Amino acid sequence: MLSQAVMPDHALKDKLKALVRHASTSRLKIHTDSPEVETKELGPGFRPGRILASNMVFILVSGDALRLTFKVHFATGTAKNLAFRIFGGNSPADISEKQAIDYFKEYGNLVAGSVVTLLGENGIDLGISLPLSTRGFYEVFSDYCEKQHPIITFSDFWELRANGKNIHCSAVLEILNQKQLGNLAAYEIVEAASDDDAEIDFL
Amino acid sequence: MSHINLDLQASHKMLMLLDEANVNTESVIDSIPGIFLIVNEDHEVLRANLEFIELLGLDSEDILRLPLSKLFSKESWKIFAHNIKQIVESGTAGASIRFEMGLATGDALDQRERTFHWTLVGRSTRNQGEGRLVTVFGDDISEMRETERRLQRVFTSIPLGIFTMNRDGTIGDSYSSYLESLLDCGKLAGTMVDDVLFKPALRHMTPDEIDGIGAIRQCVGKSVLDYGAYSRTFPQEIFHNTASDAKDGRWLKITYQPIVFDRIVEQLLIILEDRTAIVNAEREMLDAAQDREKAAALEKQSLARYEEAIRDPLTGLYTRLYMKDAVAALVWSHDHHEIPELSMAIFDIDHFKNVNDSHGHKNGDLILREVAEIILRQSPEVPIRFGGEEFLVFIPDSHEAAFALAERVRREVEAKRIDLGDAVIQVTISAGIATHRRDETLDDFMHRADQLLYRAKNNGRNQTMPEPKNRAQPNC
Repeated sequence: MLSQAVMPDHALKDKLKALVRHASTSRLKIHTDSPEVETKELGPGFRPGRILASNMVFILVSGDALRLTFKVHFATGTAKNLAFRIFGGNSPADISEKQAIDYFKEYGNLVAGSVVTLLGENGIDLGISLPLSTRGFYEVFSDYCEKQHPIITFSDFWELRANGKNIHCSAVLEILNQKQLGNLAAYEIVEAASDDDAEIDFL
Repeated sequence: MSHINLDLQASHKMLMLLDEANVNTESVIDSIPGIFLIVNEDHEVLRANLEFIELLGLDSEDILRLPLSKLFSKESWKIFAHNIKQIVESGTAGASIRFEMGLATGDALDQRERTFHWTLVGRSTRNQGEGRLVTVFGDDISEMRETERRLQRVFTSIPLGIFTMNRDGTIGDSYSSYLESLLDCGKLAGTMVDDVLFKPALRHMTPDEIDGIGAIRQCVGKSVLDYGAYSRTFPQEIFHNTASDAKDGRWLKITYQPIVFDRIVEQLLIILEDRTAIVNAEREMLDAAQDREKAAALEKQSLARYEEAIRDPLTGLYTRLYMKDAVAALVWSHDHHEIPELSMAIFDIDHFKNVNDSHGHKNGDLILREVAEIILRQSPEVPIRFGGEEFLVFIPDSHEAAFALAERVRREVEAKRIDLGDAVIQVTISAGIATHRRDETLDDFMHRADQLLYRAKNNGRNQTMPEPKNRAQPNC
């Protein structure tokens, strides 16, 4: 049952940020076959729009209530290092550039899917785009301006570490219908049991 | 299938196409020739092409945030950073700066400096995460510069002055270090061509040539089709002298070549050839030729005068003056055994005084000429008119040969009938023969011959008197 209560802006923002971060962490554990994924905040010198890595995969999650642009920032070497174990290779050198990119496209897809699932549990319907990849340089053309009108727009940046390798994630969230997100106030994010059994389906 | 699903399918398809297009675009950027970089205002590399990565022996993973300053020497980097600052501070997207600078390429073990032509272009961004960005294009022109240096060395070693003249009449590029010494001017770039090339030559130029100087300036900026009309009046050779002494001046041959762009003469390539040595040599040769002509004329004149001096104008025989030179040389030759024998015959026309008195001096002269002609014909060696009606003949031969010669002369004279107009007369001559004794003086030698002539006269005339058979030859 949908609640018509409206959460305060900051609480809704934090909830959504936490939800996306949770999705990124939980999916990375699966995707890297790593029991631990460490989340770190970016340093005080960080400015939105700063290039975080040489490559970037991004995917759009969109519905009537919310629009999320999720990005994974990674070096090709990192992608190869994390991917070769999953692909059954002997070393990162066995992974091609395309495979490395596809590895994180799939990760973006998994994170977006997770977000859709989590929000779906709260009656919020969302769709997912195809993940796209490009060079990290194009971060300079991203719009990270925080806005309250006409659409509440905010962003989040964080670093993940798994199997000794670091990647960066960023999210631009746009609240299109705040009322539809009212149920999130009481929603507690818990680790889904099925997460551990999730299968990797590469594009 | 719902419209929403169909739309989603269409959107996905479009995204796949965009993804593919993006991969292709990135591949194109990777393969841009030369150096391609995008740097932020902190001079960190954000994007680089493959040639840059390979040129510096780097790993593609190390490129992001590579400090650009690491690639340059300290001094070069100051300039590079200054130029980046200029672009960043201009705040204008598309603002650009071009310059040349060396870059240390290769890995740490094999580094070498190569010259690049750099172009910095400002870029606009949506956010300020990296501050203002600058695109850096670098073209490796080290080989071109090396070729230029080699050419420059060739140019500078050519003893020619080569330079370009700009539209404003100033010297543009100088391609020869020799030019400075040629024009006696240490600072040529930007100097007016008129001042350094033609001004020191004006004193020696014709009005037409001076007009031609103006045409040089006028042709630049005009159509190449009109160039021929101007170039016909250009000065071709000048005497360039910056010193007070004319000896310090140079003869310069000038060649002009139009540098044409889009059919307009943009510059003139001017080539100066120092012809001073050639001109001086030509002048010396001319002077020498004139001197030789003068000397030849003088020699001819001198010879003519000498001939006049040594030839008797009446008979054509040699005079006493010649005897001193020619006969003295024969005596010396005999004394030094260069000739085995030397003899002489002395002739005297018998009763010549009576002939002169009877038929006049004019006829006397005719007789002298007739006798001299016979002597000359019989004895081409050294016939001399010794004076009056006396003749001498010296022959580098024996006494017998001299006697035989004298006899031939005597008989021919005796047989000769000389037509004097009013009378035909016959004359005779007497002769004395002597042979030279080594180390005997010419006077003594002649005296002995004269004594024999005297005896021939006393003995009845018309005869040849040889030396006695037992003549002494103390030096033989």
